[in-house]
Amino acid sequence: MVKAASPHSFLPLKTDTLLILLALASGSMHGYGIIRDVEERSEGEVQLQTGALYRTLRRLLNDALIEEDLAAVDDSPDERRRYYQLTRLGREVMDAEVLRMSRLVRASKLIHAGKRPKLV
Amino acid sequence: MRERIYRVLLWFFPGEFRTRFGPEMIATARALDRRHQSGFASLGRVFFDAVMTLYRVRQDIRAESQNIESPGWRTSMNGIVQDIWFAMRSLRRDSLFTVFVVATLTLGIGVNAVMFGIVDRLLLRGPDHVKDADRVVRFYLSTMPPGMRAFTTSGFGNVSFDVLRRDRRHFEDIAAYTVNDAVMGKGNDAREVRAGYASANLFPLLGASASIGRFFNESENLPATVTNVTVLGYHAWRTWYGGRPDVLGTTVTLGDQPFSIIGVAPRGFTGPQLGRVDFWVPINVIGERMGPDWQTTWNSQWHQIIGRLKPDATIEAASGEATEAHRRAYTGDEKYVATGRMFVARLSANDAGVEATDVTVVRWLTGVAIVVLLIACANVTNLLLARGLKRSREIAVRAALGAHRSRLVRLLLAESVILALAAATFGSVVAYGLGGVARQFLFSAVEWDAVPVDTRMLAASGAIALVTGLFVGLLPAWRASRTNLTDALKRGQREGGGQRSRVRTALTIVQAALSVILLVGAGLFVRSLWNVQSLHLGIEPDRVLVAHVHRPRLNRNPNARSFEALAVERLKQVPGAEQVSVAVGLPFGNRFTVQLRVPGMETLPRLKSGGPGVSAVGEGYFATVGTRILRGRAFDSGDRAGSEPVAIVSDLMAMTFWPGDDPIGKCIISGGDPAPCARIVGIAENTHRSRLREDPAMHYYVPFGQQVGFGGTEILVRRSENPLMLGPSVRDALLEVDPGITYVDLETIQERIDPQTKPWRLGAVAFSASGVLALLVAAVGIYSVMSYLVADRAHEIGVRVALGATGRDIVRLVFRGTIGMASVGILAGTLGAIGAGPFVEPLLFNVSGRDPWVYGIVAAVLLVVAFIAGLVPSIRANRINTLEALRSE
Repeated sequence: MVKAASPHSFLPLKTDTLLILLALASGSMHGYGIIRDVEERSEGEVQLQTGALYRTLRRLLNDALIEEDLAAVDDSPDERRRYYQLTRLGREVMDAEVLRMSRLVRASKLIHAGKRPKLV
Repeated sequence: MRERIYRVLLWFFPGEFRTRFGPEMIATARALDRRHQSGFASLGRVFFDAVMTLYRVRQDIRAESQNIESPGWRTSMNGIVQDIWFAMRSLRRDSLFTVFVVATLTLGIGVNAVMFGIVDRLLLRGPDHVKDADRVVRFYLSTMPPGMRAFTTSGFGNVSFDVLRRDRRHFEDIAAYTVNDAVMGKGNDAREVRAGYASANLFPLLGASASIGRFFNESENLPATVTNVTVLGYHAWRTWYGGRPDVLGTTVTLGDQPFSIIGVAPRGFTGPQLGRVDFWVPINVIGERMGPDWQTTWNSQWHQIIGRLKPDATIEAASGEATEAHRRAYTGDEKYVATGRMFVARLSANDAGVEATDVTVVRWLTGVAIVVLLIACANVTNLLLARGLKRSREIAVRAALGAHRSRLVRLLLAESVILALAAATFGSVVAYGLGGVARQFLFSAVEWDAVPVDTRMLAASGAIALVTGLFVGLLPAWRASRTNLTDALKRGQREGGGQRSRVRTALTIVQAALSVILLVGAGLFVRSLWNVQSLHLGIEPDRVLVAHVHRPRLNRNPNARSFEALAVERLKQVPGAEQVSVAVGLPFGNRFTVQLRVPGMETLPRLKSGGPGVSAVGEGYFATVGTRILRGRAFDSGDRAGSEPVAIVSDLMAMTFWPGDDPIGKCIISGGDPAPCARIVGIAENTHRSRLREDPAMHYYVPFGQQVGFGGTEILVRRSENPLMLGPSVRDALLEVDPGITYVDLETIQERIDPQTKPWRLGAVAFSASGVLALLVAAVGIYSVMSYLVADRAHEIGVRVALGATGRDIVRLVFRGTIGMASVGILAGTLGAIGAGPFVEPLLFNVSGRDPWVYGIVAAVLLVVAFIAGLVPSIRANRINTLEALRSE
């Protein structure tokens, strides 16, 4: 699949997508692990739904933002699970999105202080 | 549960996705199932997620195959949201249409929501706080008294309860209870309450636990150690005790005894029945009142017995066990009771073990509600079809611009679903208002939840709305999307498809037919109600006020003149009281029969209705209740305790006992052997014994004071106009006679009959209201179809006029349409109603399900309405300007 290489072509990301990328930033995980991770780190505020998660994983795989981690060992013998990890592109997209958001935050703080900053 | 939802829905996913992620998704869902509870709401979310994912994944894959960027990746608006926006915009533009459709559907959905609320309580859910209600059953005994009809009862003595409980095999446990009126407090603060008497194991058997405090335990109900403790009903606690937790340990007077409050029942708890209960007390508290041998006698029945079936037990096995236990244990005198058959039935059954009349009526009302919804659907489909035609150009343009047909259908469906959901919202509001009224008016004895709309009902009306939306939208959407592009674009606004108006005509006929069915139902029930009300009962129930006086036994002084005599004397002075008397045993509430002998007769003649029944009545009784004395005399002041025993027999008894002979002067011996012979002094007209619909029953009267073997006096006051108005002055007068009275219970005899007329009142109201609404909707349907036809055929009509047709011809053309539709509708509706006739007949009162009058009147009404609906279009047809119609070609 031919894809634009620039990470900026994927922005802005939907919240779910960003949360999944952030979860995977700390290491490879399987689907259920991502749900748990997002839930724990948001203190139960965000609960990813199973269907939505796998649809997003599929898109992220197709767009090569993540890939399967074939090296990860499955800890439960009865259920074969796949582990996912970020690709270089995925990490760039995530960083770009985080940067974009932090700029927005900074800008809005300045507006709050009565200045007129550049927005993007 | 999550796992199951995804497992099922995965089948609908594209193969690529399913093979790649299916097993993983199921594993994840299983892991989530293990960790999270699956409540109603969370399962809804899961289901929504699965469906949305299905939709989006399909969208993704289609977009990928066309190598275009999929919607939903960066934009927040995906296809469905867009459709909804678009549909809302277009509905807002056509606001009149929208209002009309939403109003019609609101009616249909609202009525169904109300019915769902009632069905849910009466049929589906049963009493609150009963765990696994389908395993809880009530016991019945069916016997065949010699010469009479089979008789089924759910009333048992303590001895039956003991035997059944001790020898149970198919039951986890067996409990007893009964619910009765009782008086709480004293004097002016006294009020009538509903008391539930229960064995201690009733609460654990049902699966209920007290909301505060506790229920009573076995030792508090043992005959030897029975204790005056009580558990408050939640409602009683909130209204009379302000919901204070410190009521525990305080004392309340019930009847004339103090009871100590030990707990409060959970909210909505009514035991195994649906009526409100204010106080629960140990059932053995009332044992002594049934006589000294109450633990072992087979002659008194005051227990309702229920049991919880073991998981593997069947109704048949349980019934067999009960019959066996009963026959083994019975030691009473009646042979027919010894061979009686016992059975068990679910809690929704009535006293006789069959479906309660309420439930039957509810089934019918549900049918009516569904018919109303169908009519609304037919009407809305009709309107949507018309709208689709008007929009055919717009749709053609969209198709020409590349909109996929499935997308067009989806867009149009979105419209109808939005309309239906809006209607569901309003319908819930309607249900909120109407539901409360319907519940109070129709089923006032049932303890309803405070709010007539709950989540189950909202979910149900949402579901009804979705189905309705799809149902009404599918045909119009499919048709509209089939529009032939070139034709539609070329033709402009003019249209000439005869096929479409055929569908609309058919829909209108369906509406007319359904209206006929509802109106026939209305007619049959109204006639039944009329027959019931004009029934000659032998008494005038709406002119007699009955006072039932509760007095503590201690206050009674046997030496003083009887309270009753003093009360009658005092009440005669009350302004407005036309007649005053007393009676032991009144029609519609009298079950007394005592042993009867007639000298010279070996065996007494018997009728199917059993009896003869007996009552003891005071001087002036017959004038008070309005029973005519056919021959001989009524009782007078000389007939009382100690005077010569006399009696008055009913006409039927006279003819049955002494056919062709004059009974006056004959002798009967009532109430056992020591009783002397009573001389018959008069013949009274027949009266009803206990039911509006019953076999004629024999009856005789003895003077008040001469009765042997039965008791329970009631004081009667006659007033021709609204006797209830006398209530306060009667109560005051009685308190003057005896200040120790705890409570006076006042009602007319009519009020005792009213529960029996309920099915007909219910049917008449429900069918009439829905019939009239249906008729209105059908009239609008006829009108709109005819108007449309006239507009559509303007060209043709113009040509006809140009060729010499007169105004009359044109009017005839239009009326041929309207009357034709109405006639076919009447025919179809009549056939439908005749088909349903045999099923309603048991619910009617002396009316045939094929009553020609009802059918005739309904047909006439529908024709008149169709005529009126056709008037405006025919006038419009006559005003068509020939030149313009032809020019528009």
